[in-house]
Amino acid sequence: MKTKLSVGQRLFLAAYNPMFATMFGWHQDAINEEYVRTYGVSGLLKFGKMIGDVLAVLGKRYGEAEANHIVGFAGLLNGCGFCGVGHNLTANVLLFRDNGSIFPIDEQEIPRLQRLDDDDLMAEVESRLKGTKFEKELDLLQRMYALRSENAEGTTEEDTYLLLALDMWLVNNECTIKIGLDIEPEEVPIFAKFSRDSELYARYREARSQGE
Amino acid sequence: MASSSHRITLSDSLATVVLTGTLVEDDAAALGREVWDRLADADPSLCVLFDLTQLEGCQLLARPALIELQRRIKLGKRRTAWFATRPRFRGLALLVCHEANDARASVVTTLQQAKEWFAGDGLREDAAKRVARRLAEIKAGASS
Repeated sequence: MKTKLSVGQRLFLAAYNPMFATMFGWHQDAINEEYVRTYGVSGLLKFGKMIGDVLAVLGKRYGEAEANHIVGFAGLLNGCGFCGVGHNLTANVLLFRDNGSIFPIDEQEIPRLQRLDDDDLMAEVESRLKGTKFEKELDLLQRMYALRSENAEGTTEEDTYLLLALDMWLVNNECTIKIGLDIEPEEVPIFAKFSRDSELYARYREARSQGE
Repeated sequence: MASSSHRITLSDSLATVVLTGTLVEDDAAALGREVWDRLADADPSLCVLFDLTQLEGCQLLARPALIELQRRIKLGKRRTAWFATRPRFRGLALLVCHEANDARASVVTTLQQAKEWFAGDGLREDAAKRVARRLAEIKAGASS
């Protein structure tokens, strides 16, 4: 939308954006601005809290890394590079930091995967994860895709969590898509407090390159 | 040289617009004019389906015409579904719906979803209500 921000909204963002970066560890000024343009300041704060709540309940059930893979996959399916790359990057670095694991799908591949037809995309996800220690995640991602494509209400407790992620990222991508459709993967930050830990990121990339 | 074509078919209740090839600025503008012409005298209840399954690309300069078209469709309060089987084009469609600020326009992954969207009266923003409901369900389950 081309709606201009009011002076009050611009003043709010001038104070909010650096505070956001300090609190959470990364900058997303353009996305915050699009939220305000679309939903107003109250909408930014309301949906920001909602996203935090969703990540918290997903993190409680699945752990922080898997929760980020789940919402990253939701963003991937919606065509958003900011969320598709960013949450998968966050999950991959968390896995590396906490137990030295390298997830079979490199977050840098997300834009290429988003250009595939869904059948080919899901086939590639399956071929990468099947037979690895991440088969449980494969089950979750396949179920997410089924729920996403069937408009299903879900039948299990797990479905409730996966639908929660899918719906939350339908809302979130409404604004992130403006930046996320064309963003380069290298421009996407890690969505965590350790976002600025360039040494950790360098070690992760080095480990990934050696594993390939 | 990129090129695209489109095919528009009208039934009693649905206008289907199939896009093929790579959409460039001039093609998108022509598409917008033609769709608008075909919709001008159509029944107000007519829904619009954009089928992107044969689309191969969409240049940056073609996007404004799609957004403008969606804005004009919004004025008629018609329900629109953008059907895409590639995430990249679902993203493009979401951008168009968002920039046109048309809550009656949605992005779908299957034709069945499109039919359900046309048959219902929901809005794209209803996803936020479902999130609130599911969060409440999960929190209630955790505390019981």
